[in-house]
Amino acid sequence: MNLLGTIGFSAGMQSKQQQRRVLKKTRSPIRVVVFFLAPALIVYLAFVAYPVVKIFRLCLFRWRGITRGTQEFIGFGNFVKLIHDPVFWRAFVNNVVLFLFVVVVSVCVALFFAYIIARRIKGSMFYRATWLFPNMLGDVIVASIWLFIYHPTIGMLNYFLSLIGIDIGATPWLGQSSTALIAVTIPMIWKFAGLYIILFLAAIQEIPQSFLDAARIDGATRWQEFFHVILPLIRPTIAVAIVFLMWNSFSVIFTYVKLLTEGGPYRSTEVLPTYIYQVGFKYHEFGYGSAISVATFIFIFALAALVLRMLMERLMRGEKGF
Amino acid sequence: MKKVNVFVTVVLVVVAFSFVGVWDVMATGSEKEEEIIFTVAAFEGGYGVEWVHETARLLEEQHPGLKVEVTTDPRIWEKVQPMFVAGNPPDVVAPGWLFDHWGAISEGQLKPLEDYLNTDAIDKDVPWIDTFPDGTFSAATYEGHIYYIPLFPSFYGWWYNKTVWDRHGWTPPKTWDEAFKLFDEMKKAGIGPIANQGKYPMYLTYPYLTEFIARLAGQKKLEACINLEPNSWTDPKVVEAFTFLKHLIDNYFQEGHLGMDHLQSQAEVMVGKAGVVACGSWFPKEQEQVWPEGDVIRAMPLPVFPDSPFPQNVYNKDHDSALLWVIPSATKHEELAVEFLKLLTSEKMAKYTVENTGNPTTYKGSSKWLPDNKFGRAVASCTAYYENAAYTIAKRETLELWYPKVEAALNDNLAKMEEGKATPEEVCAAVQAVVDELREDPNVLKHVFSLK
Repeated sequence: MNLLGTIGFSAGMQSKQQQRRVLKKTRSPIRVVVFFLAPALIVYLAFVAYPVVKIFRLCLFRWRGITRGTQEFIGFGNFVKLIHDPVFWRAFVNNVVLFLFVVVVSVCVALFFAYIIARRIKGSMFYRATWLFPNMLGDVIVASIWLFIYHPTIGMLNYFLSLIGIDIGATPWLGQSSTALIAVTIPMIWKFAGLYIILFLAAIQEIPQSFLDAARIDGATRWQEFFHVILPLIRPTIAVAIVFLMWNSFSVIFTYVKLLTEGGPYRSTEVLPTYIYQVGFKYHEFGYGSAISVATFIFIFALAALVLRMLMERLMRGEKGF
Repeated sequence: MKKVNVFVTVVLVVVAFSFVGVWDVMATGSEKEEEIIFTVAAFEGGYGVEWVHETARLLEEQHPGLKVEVTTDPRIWEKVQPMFVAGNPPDVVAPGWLFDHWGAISEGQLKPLEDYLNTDAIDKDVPWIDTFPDGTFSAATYEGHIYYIPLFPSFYGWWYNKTVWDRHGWTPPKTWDEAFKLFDEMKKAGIGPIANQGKYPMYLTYPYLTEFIARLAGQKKLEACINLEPNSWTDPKVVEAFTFLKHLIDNYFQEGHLGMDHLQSQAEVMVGKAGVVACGSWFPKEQEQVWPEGDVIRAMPLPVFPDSPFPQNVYNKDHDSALLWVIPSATKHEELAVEFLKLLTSEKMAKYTVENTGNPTTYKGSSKWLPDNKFGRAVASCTAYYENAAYTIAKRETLELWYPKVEAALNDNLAKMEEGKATPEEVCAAVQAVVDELREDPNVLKHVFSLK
């Protein structure tokens, strides 16, 4: 008997004791749920929600982060400073460019290999096995591996390029502003590609075979099948992937920049998370660092909301593929 | 009788006990019956921490019933800073290089130590301060008060692989003209003359830039730069120092140096692919894993400008900012904290620390205890030429710690200059702009520093 049925049945009972017993039965599931959720909820409130609330408060103060009671209220002074801070804007632009690059490359690479694996094209088993491997490594390990790949004199990248006739000498991929930002992004894309391949592969495999058969019967080529049948049908999955990639680009990227370039050369790889860290822990301006965090949060929230809203609109309109 | 809600009661009890447990763990310096707990926190890095534990053991030996709790961590400031905020810091601490020492000082969180330094050392009938070399506390002093005890001095120079040099018949150049001739020979031999930690532009400031400014522009102009004076960084002689550095970068720095970090570039010297690399006296220990065969690593001072009217035997020397020992104002055991520091800097512990770390300490004459092994001999070759120094420049302990934004501007613009995207004049102008801004900022603690 479901919950509503139980309540309806109880309405017809005469004895108070019987009514209490029924009410107890309906409250028990809720009580059990609360009991099991409580520890995680307490931890979440204490270590996530509470610090976030504090940051929203701290952004209105000037504070060095050493002594309680020395916070000086300055209203929106930190945000005025942010607007005039060229390093903030450099980090913001770098981060947006990085995000766009990560989205385009990750989605294209993942879609390509997901399609190959799904269609069982030659080599698909090899890609299936190898693409997941980097995802099992930690970010620090991945960054350390690529530090050596990028080494100017003994690194694999310059060596392989010289083998195929592109002799560029000891190119410092991480040390010149023209290549550093892309160079810092590649390891992160390499690590997470396997995850998105699996995501898209699952979505492609969910497509009813009849759709693909119908397209083939109508004379569709593989390209047409991919662009006009598969792609529209897995659009929600791509939207979800973009939201995850947003998290990669504005959060996970910290590890890669910190280990590979420290934001250099001259801020060409500075991103918002590394700048927030520098403002807080190197310049000891916790109020200003909080303001940058709040601004970043608002931007990411708006961006994610936009992406998801577009998805929901299509869902509400009952568009094809939803 | 009202039924007790057993479920709610159980949850509340569990939560209450867990918080009690948490607070009990977080409590430091607490005193239980008859037992005094004295807390020490220290940065854990290249020097290890055995010497901290040994000092703690000695303190316990001298005070039966005392328990010394030592916490060490490579990111100790992340643990210690919240404790300062909570008003419950360790009793004595070396809070690491990312701790805001001068912020803590300006907010009264650290005890001045000069009165204690003028009392007797723990193992000699001389003032404690006299067991340190002259100038040890210059950068630690503000308005007459000394706020920290540095432990490990860093010496600087060019490090080279003697085996490679002997093979080619090369000897350390005394002047820059000799150096340029030598570098041309190195290029012909297929060896990059100067390795450089390109990803970290701050390595261009120790020893290169600050020593160039001192040797070409003189002590007063370098002091003006550190003291944030107007037009100090755009002075023509200071710009000349930057121009000379750029000449070195463009003509003699190893190809690909921009993409190398400190370990990669320093390894180039160890394996004989580069001639020299500028680094501090931590170099031998840091390169332990890529040490070439034999006892072959040595250091030399930078060559001199023989036509300059200013002293040329001036070198960078500072103290490792990761291990600046302080006593928090909120310490529960001030006398014990002082005793701990006196023990740490005593002759017995200095000898122990030098022999175990392979690095001198701030105990006067501690270099004599450098171990007679390849590491000790390498470090000794670096400390040797400091004995005749006219004065030393504590760049990292001053500019870097006092004015991190000037340091950031210097690093950013030096990186631009390295890549050929800025001229020396532009770099100096950019740094001067930040200096001028900081000078007018009332929230920035201003120091007045003299090199002698």
